[in-house]
Amino acid sequence: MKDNKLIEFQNVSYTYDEENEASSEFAVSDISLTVCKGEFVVILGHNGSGKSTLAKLSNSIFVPTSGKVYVNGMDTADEKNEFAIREKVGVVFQNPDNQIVASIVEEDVAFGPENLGIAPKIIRERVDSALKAVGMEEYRFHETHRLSGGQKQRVAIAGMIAMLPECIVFDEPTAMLDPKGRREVLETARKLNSQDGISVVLITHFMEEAVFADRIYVMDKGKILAEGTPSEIFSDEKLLLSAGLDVPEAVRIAARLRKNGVPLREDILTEEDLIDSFIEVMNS
Amino acid sequence: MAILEVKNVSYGYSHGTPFEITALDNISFSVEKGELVGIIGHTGSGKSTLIKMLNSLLKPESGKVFLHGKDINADKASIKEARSKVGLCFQYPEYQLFEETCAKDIAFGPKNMGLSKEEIKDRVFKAAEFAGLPRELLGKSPFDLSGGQKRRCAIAGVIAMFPEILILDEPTAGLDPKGRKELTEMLENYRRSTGATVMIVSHSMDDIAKNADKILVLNKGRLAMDGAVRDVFSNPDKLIEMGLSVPVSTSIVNALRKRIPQIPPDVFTADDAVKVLTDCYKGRASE
Repeated sequence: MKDNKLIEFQNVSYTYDEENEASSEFAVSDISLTVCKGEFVVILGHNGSGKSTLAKLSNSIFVPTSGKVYVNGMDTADEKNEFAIREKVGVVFQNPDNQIVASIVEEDVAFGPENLGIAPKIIRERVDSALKAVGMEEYRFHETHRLSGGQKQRVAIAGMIAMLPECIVFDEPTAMLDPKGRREVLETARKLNSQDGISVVLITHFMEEAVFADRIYVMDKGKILAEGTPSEIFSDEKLLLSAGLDVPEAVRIAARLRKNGVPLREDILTEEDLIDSFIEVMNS
Repeated sequence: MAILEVKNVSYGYSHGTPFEITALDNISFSVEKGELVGIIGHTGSGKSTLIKMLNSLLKPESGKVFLHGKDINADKASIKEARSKVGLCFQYPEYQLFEETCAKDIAFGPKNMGLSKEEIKDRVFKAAEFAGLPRELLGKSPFDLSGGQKRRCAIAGVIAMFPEILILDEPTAGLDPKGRKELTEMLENYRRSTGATVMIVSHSMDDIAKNADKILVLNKGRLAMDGAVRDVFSNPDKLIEMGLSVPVSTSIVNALRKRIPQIPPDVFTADDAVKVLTDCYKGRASE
């Protein structure tokens, strides 16, 4: 089990105001969590709950004020590990426009591996397979600024993949996208996890994006309020509401139907679950 | 008479280059006083270009925009009038905060309208109250606020002009569920207590279905649909083809109707979905 841990937070606290450490507020405080190899972990939390701070702590953009973060056993606070850690764990941020560095799609994807000093031939292979993985290979010669938001995010993801990371942390990657762009990015994240075995940490406040997770952490005021499977977390509407969150629409409708006496299954998370369960009820 | 009328408006970018694009193609619609209008459409469908037409930030290349029956681009005075009566709040408006204090930031619009000091002060308080920004924050720098508070401060800056038509481009983008709910209620409260027209660009079909009197659907620069919630969301296939979607409750009930034909159509909110599915179950039990 121990070898299986990719990212490990041990009692991590972080403050943006290091000068007055004693009196200042902590953006995250005393957080312990693990992300195992191949896992799909979702972190839910309201605005200002510390989610993005957590993302930046995960690959040594920030180092903890107290506590430790380990990536594959490497301490993120140790400067000599910085580059090795950033190769293992990539972060995709919210705003697609802030993450594109080149004017042509394939050049943007090549930026990371180029900085690693990899041979051009291998960069070529990595860029091609990364673009394929996100379904953007047809756009490789396109200008980045003419892409849609969802396409830009997928290019940013391809840039990560070209680094051959073991884990990608997505920090609200769909917040600025339309429904189609949101679907594209989510499907990409799920595919990278299920087919390519890349661990995914998805930070979001869209509840319906969390139903596919292996595990969910709920954050509130810089602390972890709850941890569990989607069915466990979403069965506690009260807890989620108290954390400024909500349950997915299908879960809410199912709960209200059960209250009205419709004997639906207890583990409904998605629209499909609700539809199947309702048909079962009607047929029985 | 309609408060706002858009007639045959077209607009394009990058004329004379290979990247020439028609952002708006012969758009016509009208909006009544007090209506809540939802504007939906995929990225690049022309939503942002359209709302910039409505207070003359962009001028139509052909066609006209009428406010209270008057062409808003007729002369300088009309443009000025449109700018004060039609309040535009862009996406992520918190990036446009610039003043030393929240109060000064909110006062910027009314000040430019040439109002008296007392009137400006009064408006700042009222706008902050509508936007749910606590009074004790007014003396603080807007840059010391949380994300949600910044958003409220920025929206208060538009509300302080007391616009007859308040237009917001994705006002809830990036907010958590609680923030989304509070902001939606705040806009509804503003509309009810002032009788203003509110137009909201949104990617959340569920929010639109719950609140809008009327929906405009843009697709590749054309107005693809213009109608009540029922008219628009009863065409799920058409919407999905345009890169949009229907509310979750609509898609659940539509899927179930394929298997259980007695379920009635036209369900657009969770309340309706719970009602028709409960009825359906009870109907079966009593058979």
